[in-house]
Amino acid sequence: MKAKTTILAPDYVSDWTRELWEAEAKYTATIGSRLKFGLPLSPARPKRARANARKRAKVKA
Amino acid sequence: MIARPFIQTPHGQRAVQIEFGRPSDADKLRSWRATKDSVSYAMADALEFGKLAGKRWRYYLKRNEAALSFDELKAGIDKVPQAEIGFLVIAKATWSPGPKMLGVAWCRRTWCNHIVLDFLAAHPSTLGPARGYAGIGTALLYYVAEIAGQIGAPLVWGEATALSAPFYRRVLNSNDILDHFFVRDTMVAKMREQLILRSNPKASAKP
Repeated sequence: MKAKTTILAPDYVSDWTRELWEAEAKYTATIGSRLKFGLPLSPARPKRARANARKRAKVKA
Repeated sequence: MIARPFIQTPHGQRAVQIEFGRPSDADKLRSWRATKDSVSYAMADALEFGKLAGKRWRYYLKRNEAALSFDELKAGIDKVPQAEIGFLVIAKATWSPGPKMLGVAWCRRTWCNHIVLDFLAAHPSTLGPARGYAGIGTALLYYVAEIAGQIGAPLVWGEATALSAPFYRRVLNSNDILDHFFVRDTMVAKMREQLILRSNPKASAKP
C-alpha cells in the first residue's frame, strides 16, 4: 500500500519570511563550494593531432 | 512529503512545490542555462553549483545511497543508523510559462544524523533584483529544516559563498558568519513553523 503524502501548504507569509525574501533578493541564498568532485567542469583541453608512427620514427632517427 | 510555501515571482506571490528529487532531475540540472544578456557572479555560482549537485545526485544514485522520498530516507536510517544518505530537494513552479525547476538543494544526512547542505541554488534566470523572484532559497531552507526536524537532526550546516554570507547572517541573526554556518535546533523549529502558518488558525484546527 502506498503511503499517504503529507502536504505542507501555509496560506500566510510571516514578516520574518518577507525579511528573508528581501535579503535573498539583495544577496543570494546560494550554498556550495568549487570542490570539483572528481570530474572537471572546465572544457577539456583540445586534443593534439597524433603524428602517425612512420613520422614519429623518422623524427627519432 | 510535499511543501507548497509562497515565493515572490514577477506575477506576484505564488506557491512553489518543494519535494524530493527524482533520477530524471539530473538531466534537468544539466540543462540549466543563464540568460544570454548577462551572466553575473551569482548566476555563474548557481549554474556551477546546480550542475555539481546533479553530478553528486547521479553518483549517489549509482551507489544506491540516495533517497528518492522522505519515506526512503527514514527507512534507510532505520535500517542502518549510521548510513550516509544523499537526497536532492527541488523547487518546481506550479505555473507556466517559466522555468520548471526553480531551485535545487543537494543534501547529505551524515553518519551522526546531521544534515549537510552541500549545494543550494536558485535557477540562474531567477537571479537579480530585476527578475522579480525572491524566496526560492528560503523555501528550500524551510523544507530542509522540516526534514531535519522529522528525522531528529539537531544540526544543518552548509558553506556560504561571498555573495550569500550576508543572507545567512540575516537568517541566523549573526554577524560572525563567513564561509560556513550552522542552523541549530531552535532555528530549525522556527523554519519549520513557516511551513504550517495559517492566516486563520481556528479555521484550520481539527475538531
